[in-house]
Amino acid sequence: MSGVRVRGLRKSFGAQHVLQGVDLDIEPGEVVGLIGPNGAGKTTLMSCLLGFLFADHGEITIDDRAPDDLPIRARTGFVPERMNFDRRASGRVFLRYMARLANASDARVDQLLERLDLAGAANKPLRQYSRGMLQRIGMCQALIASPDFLFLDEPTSGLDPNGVMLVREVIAEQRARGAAVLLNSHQLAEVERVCDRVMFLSKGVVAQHETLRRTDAIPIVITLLDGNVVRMTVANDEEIASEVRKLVESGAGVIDVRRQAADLEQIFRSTS
Amino acid sequence: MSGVVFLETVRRHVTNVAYLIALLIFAIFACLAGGMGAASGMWTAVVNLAGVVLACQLIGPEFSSGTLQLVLAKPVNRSSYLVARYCGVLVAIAILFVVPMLFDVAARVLVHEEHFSTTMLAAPLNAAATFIVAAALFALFGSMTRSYLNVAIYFIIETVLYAAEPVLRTIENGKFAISPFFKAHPGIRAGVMKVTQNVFPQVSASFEWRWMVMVISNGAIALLLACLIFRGREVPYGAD
Repeated sequence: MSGVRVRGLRKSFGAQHVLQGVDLDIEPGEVVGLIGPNGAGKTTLMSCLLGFLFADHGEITIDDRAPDDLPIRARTGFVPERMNFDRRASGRVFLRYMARLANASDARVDQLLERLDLAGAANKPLRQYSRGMLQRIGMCQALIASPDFLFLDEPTSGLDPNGVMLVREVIAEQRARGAAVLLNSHQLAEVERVCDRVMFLSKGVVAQHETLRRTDAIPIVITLLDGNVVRMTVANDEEIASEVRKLVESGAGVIDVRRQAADLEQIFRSTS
Repeated sequence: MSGVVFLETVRRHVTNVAYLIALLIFAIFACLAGGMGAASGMWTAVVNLAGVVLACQLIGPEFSSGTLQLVLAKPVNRSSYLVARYCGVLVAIAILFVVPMLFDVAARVLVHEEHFSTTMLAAPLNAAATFIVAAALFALFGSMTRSYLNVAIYFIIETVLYAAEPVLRTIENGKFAISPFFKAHPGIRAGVMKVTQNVFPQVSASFEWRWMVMVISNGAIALLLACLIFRGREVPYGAD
């Protein structure tokens, strides 16, 4: 299975050039974050990937097929920023409708309600759901057919810390399953924790790419007892242990070792 | 046609409290009309209004609320979605006409001891049949606009077409500079009348197969056009 490929994507609305040549790759088993200020073109990009909007120029392929191909849709999940449906319907009725559209079983509905901690509220009408519960039911409908390609638009907005952790776990499960995930979010800390790579979109172009997780080069920060900080890049866990051992043997007191995070806030500010 | 979307559309209507209350009111109204021996189907004028309310929601509000995008992200063909929505709404409208009609007929037979005749059914069923075209037109106008703009387009076209015939007749019979032209070409006014009758058919008090075939074929043409437009239409969601 090949992943999501976008080449030279351009999209305009009249005189407004929203996307001006965007390239993007998402491999199976990879989570890519999409970051950018309001008006950067994130939702337009997401809409093009879902086949809701048509590209003016450029090419979009998902597993080598067009994004609006029905077999591709059957393997695609989408969480909108705001979930809207018949508010009188219960969560279960809504999900069963989505399951039938996606050729999934009612048993899968119950399984997802359980997984997203909504089993207790399954028979309540959607109008009684909080924003966070609507986000989680949105996540359920996206996962209903165990998609290979997952497009998430602000899936954690309105969620409490437990909900955020739950969604984080679910995204990690999807990555482990081999799904290609695109996460559009303004919550930089969340993106940093969940994503393998981050794409900064500004004024319709990709301003910067940042790799957050590399298996062959892990940036780490070692804090010493005397307040000094040692930064280095290692290849694996054994090398971390070896470097720490060397420092301790040389007489330095090691009080903390952690992965060096990319400063997404700084990059966001500089690219916006 | 997507059976899942069709059933969901029907479910959403028949479980709506406002819909059920309207149905009850129409049934009581038709029962009273039948019991008092009023002209057959005189109550359909009120039901027409409810039919318009249902038909105009066929696509626009789904689009604006974001429900459409949730469905189109699933493996559902756009045309089969639109046809299923159309059929579902048509069933909901048909129920609004058929249930009161049964009460109307029952009241006539029981109170006035009339013998059942098919003419009792003609006016309500013909009124319901006009929605085959009307709902297809709402789908057509909805497939190219958002929200309730289809209602505005529908009523503007209806008003213009109905006003055109008397205006053209006045011009023909008057002494305007263009009057000789329209007098020499009476086919223009006849053509406008024909278009009006096709697009906004008048309800007949009796069964006419030719009229029914015209209504069904015009509805099918409008729905086909709606599907073609909807297939190539962009459906953006949200905003940055």
